[in-house]
Amino acid sequence: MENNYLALLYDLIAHPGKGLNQAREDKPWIFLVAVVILSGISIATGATLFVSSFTRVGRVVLFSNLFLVIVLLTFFWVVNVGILHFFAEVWGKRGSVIDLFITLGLAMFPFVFVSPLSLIVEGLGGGRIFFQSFFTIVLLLWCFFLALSAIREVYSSATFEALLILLTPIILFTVFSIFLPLSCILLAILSLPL
Amino acid sequence: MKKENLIIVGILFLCIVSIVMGIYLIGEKTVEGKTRILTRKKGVAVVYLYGPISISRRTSGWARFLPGADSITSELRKIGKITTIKAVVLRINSPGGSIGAVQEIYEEVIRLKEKGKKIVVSMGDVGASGAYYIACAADKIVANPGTVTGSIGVLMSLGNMEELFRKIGIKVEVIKRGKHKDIGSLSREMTAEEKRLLQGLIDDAYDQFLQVVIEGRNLRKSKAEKIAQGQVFTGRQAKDLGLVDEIGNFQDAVRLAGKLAGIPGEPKVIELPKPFPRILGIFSSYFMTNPLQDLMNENSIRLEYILQ
Repeated sequence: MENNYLALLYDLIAHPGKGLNQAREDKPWIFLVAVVILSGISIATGATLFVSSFTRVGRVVLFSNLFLVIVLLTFFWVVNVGILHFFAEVWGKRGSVIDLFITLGLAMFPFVFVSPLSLIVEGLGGGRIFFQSFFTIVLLLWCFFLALSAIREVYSSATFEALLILLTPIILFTVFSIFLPLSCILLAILSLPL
Repeated sequence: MKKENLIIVGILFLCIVSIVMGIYLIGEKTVEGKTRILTRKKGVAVVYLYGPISISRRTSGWARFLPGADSITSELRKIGKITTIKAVVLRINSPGGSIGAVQEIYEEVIRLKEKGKKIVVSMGDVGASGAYYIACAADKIVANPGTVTGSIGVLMSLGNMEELFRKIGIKVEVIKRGKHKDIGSLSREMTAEEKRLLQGLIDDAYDQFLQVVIEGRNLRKSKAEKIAQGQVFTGRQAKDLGLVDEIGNFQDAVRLAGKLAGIPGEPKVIELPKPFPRILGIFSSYFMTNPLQDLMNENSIRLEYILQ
């Protein structure tokens, strides 16, 4: 079983499509929870270590961050599954929401590297903000790529279609966040007595 | 194990080690920061000086982490770096201790004063001898009316077990190079020359103590010499003699420290977090029990500013 998990992790890094497909079939729940928790711990430790260089926050903050990150990560995970599944159906794709839940959870795996990379940034001394930003962007892109592969595997879609499913909520959110305040302002202006 | 599995095990190990190292580093970096976050407003730090003072009670093992002069000087140095701490209350309940340890703490308190922090000493049951030496570095000394203080003097106690050794049939062979290398030996009577040499040490250490009292308490030498005959005083007597500034308890000392530092209202009391020694303190009796070593320590040449 351990070997299966190790092989799964290796595939997740080396052959993401194969790894995610395997996870979809095996449904390794305990492993999934372990990955998400380890990612949460790594994010909380890495982020607190980085922030402590500027504000000198302590271990108490680390433990509260740990709690916060795991809760938010789980919340983000569940909400993301719901939203993406909705848009996948909107675009005419059919797939299992449970499979999406598993594969999107595993797509968070790159976050386990936040802590080692923060440690490297700590050791570099100078240019902390630059290097931390750079590493964060790289990890986010990796997660994005894994999420893309997850949608491709779960909905048996082409890359373009998976990209569409993944980007639709982001685009809509951006549009709403720009237009909603603008429309409110416009409405307020129009409702002013002339 | 397959090569791929080894890679993954390596990655996971790296991640876990980095998390542990990260947690450790956060703790190391943040003793000062934690205090700063807890106290955005100006405050008064409290440093505790309890029990006999020595550099460290043990040099190896976990016991070396138990509070000693090193941990107190380290705490004082940390306080010196924290800008929100404007004053320090040194809470003393100690009969003194070894001269080196006392002087190390004294010097650190002086350095803290030079950094602009106001120092107030608050004495509990006892603040005598070496503990009083340290108190002389403070801006003000506050004691309870019944606090035992004073005992300005130097002490060296050496045993002579020659008779006992003879009775129980122990013969100590001493091989030495250097005439006075076995000075203070347990197994023989001290010579007149040795007594003179040791008295020289005591006199010098006494002069150092006296000088600190004269400078710290702003006393005339003749008056200081009269007080510094090893006698103890109550807090009230000490106030009359100029050895103590105020009669009051710990809270009075905190208020006085706040007032000296110009902190309006009730000052916020800050204690630096130090869970590690606190946890070890639970096991302190386990670490401290070593009767043979304690007996040998008692009979080694060691100058002490300590209340007997």
